[in-house]
Amino acid sequence: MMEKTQNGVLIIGGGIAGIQASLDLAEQGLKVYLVEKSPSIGGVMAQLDKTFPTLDCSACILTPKMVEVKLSENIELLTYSEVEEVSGKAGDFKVKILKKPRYVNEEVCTGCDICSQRCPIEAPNEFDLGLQPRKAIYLPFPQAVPNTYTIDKNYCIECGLCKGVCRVGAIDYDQQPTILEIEVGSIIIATGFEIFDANLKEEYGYHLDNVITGLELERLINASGPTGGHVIRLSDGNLPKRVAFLQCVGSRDEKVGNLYCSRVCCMYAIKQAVLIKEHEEDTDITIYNMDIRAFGKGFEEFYQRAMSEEFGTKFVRGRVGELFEIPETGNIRIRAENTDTGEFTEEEFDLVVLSVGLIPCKDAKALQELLGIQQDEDGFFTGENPELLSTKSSVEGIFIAGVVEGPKDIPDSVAQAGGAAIKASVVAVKGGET
Amino acid sequence: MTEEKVKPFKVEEPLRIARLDPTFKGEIMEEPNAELIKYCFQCGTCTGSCIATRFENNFNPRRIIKAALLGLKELVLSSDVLWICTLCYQCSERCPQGVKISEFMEVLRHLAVKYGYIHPSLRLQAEAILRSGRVYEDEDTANVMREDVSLPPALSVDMDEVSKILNRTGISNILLREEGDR
Amino acid sequence: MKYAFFPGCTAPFRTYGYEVSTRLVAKQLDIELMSMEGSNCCGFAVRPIDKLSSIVLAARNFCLAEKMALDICVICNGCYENFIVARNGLLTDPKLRREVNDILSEIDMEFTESVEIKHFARILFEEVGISKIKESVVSPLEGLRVAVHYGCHVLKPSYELGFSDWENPRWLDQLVEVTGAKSMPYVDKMACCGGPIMGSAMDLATNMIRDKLIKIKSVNVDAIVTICPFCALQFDLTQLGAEKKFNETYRIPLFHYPQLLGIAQGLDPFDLGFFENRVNVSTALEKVGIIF
Repeated sequence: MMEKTQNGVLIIGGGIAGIQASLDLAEQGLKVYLVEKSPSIGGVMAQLDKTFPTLDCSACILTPKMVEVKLSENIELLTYSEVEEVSGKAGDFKVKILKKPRYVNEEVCTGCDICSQRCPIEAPNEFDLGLQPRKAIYLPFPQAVPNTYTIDKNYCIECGLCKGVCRVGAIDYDQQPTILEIEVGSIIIATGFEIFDANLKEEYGYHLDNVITGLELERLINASGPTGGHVIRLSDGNLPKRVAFLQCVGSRDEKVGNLYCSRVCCMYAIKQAVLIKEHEEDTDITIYNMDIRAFGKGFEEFYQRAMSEEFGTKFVRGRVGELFEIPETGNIRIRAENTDTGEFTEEEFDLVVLSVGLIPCKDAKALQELLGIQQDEDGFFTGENPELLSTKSSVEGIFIAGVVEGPKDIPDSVAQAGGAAIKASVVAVKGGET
Repeated sequence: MTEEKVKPFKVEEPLRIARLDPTFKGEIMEEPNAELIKYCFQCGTCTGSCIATRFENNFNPRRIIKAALLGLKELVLSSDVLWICTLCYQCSERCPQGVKISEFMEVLRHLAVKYGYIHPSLRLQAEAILRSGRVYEDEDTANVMREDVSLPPALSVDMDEVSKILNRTGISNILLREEGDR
Repeated sequence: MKYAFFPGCTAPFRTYGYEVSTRLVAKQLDIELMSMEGSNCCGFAVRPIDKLSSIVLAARNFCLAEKMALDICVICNGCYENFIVARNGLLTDPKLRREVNDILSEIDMEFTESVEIKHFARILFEEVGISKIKESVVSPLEGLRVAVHYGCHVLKPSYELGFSDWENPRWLDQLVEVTGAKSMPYVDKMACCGGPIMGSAMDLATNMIRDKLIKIKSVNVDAIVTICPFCALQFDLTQLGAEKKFNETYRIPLFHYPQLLGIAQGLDPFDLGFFENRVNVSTALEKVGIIF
């Protein structure tokens, strides 16, 4: 099948940047194809509890936008899909998109959840980072868009229970992958990031029960998360009274090959410290850091507030050397130098949170080869003049937005997405010669 | 039993510029591994990882790097703390800036020796090697013990050859020269 | 399998049980250890004073092994690290190599890269292999709980020695567990024993080993296992010093790894030199049915 479109734009990646770019372009009346590799759009922002520095509910900002994408007549939402092939040039790209089989008919599934309730097989829940299970047939999270279930064939045993219970006959074990061929004028890449694998910093003991990542904490503190919003210790389920945050885990670190600053960790750690305090007032919180990079609007004020009597977060200037578990209690002892005083310290905590940095997606390399665009030495996508035009990739007609271009927070990702959308629309409307 | 006291490693305040030796940094950086201290961003990972610091708070690798970069030559080279680093490399392995701190400590020891601050125990060790080619010289006692466990007598060192090569490296001159200096 | 055997200074002069048990276990596993006649200190001891001397001393030993056309087998972590750092220096720094060769020409020697440096424990793990060692075990040491101590210089600097796994290695634990003994995890397992500053700061070295001993004692082990004579001295000899200094009792026997393997291979503990170990080993040996 061949769909002819004059003014279409392809957007790869359905996180907040891809969503925003899609909505901006659709509002201009342009045809948008939004391709997302996972079963739902939303990206990492959907996993977050609150945003910094305003402590707004992340889902409350994001979910309406996701729904808007679904409702927009100009947006063709292609979830569980991947870009296979791109040819042509600016103004006239030909794109092959692989639609992976969901084994559930998208047209008829109503998202009633009966299939999942009947499914006997449990698998790790990606959305909750494995902190609780999901079924082999699943919706990634309650607000997922589309509200369509997906069968994970890595776990499904084809017992037939879901098929038997589905009232609309949506289950189709024999669904095949399909290829969709489209033509678009321009492309926006907004494939986002992955979080740094904390296991690579062995001295920070991520294998221990009571050492978790910042993103895991987001799920724990979220009311719809696996613990209903209670930050607990994974070893015994108790509420931690002493919590430590370790900054720059996987960032500004030659040893793991990431020399860059991930730009969000200082602020998300401060935010999480404040949130923990709001949940459990009598928690002592220490943030071990090299320096606090509170560079954005309202950030410094937020940092000051976290330090103030109201929240009483303790900031220790010093990168942690090592930590270890006390086997009897599961508590963690942290060794670090307080570089302000020059004192070596060994402090005990109930819970340790690793403020992991952002790294390029593992499949960014494949996309880079597919599209022939430039990557910087850290693996983020870049154009010829990143200092002036960060949205422009090295290939005419292909634009970049969000963390795929380099670590940034939500407002910056959204702003860049808007910029990329404008640039992409000019090419889509006027053709290659801009 | 009284505990040996380690002299505090303290930068006198106010820091007098006249006391700083701007050439010290250059002298250190002549050694390829030590040169990396220019990348130090004073994060404290080394100190936080250091076993010597854990038992002797006067030993602080981060501060030693800072003092060296400032040019506090005498403070650094005359300090007791130079000799309590175990060279376990924990700091070098973990430094997020790739500074080889253990290697830097070794270069400081070489410079300390050069300027007459050799530690007596290391002098004794080096002298033993100059005499016998190895650290321990109680060959007769050892051989009695070795016989007990059915080991052959300890091999003898070819001192003729060892003396020839050590004469060329000039280590005996280093040891001699220092005696007068201190 | 045949190696030029370099026992170093400390093993032949201070930890006789280590050397003798190494030789006996090697024989069991068909590893021939050939004496390096006339060899000298590895160079570690003069390294703090003069780097050139330390490299020249190391290089002379390499040349001796080259004459034997064999790689060097060491049993001391200090020798191991110093040899490899010296060798890497000679391989990467042409100026240093010329300088050293110029000195060695005095005694008609020249450094070439032909000789490689292996630690006996690494030979066991990499060359002999766990499965072959397992075949040699005739009386597994079931029920024996041991604390493994690797020692810093068999792992680090990883960028010189060529290991990536220095933070939480498992290979020595595997070598221990193939004997049937159980390697018990303990806090600060990877911490330095303090050995390198025994000469320059004995008090501090004693405090360091005391801390390790207390942590090891808390997990209730029968013995400590090491693969370095220097670490062994710290755990064995300095243990007695620490007991005296702090008026505490630890009494944790020290086994050199080849002694542990040796008893599992059914060798006589007397031959393995157990009586040379300072802290009494008889309770630990009794646990595996050996009256000593």
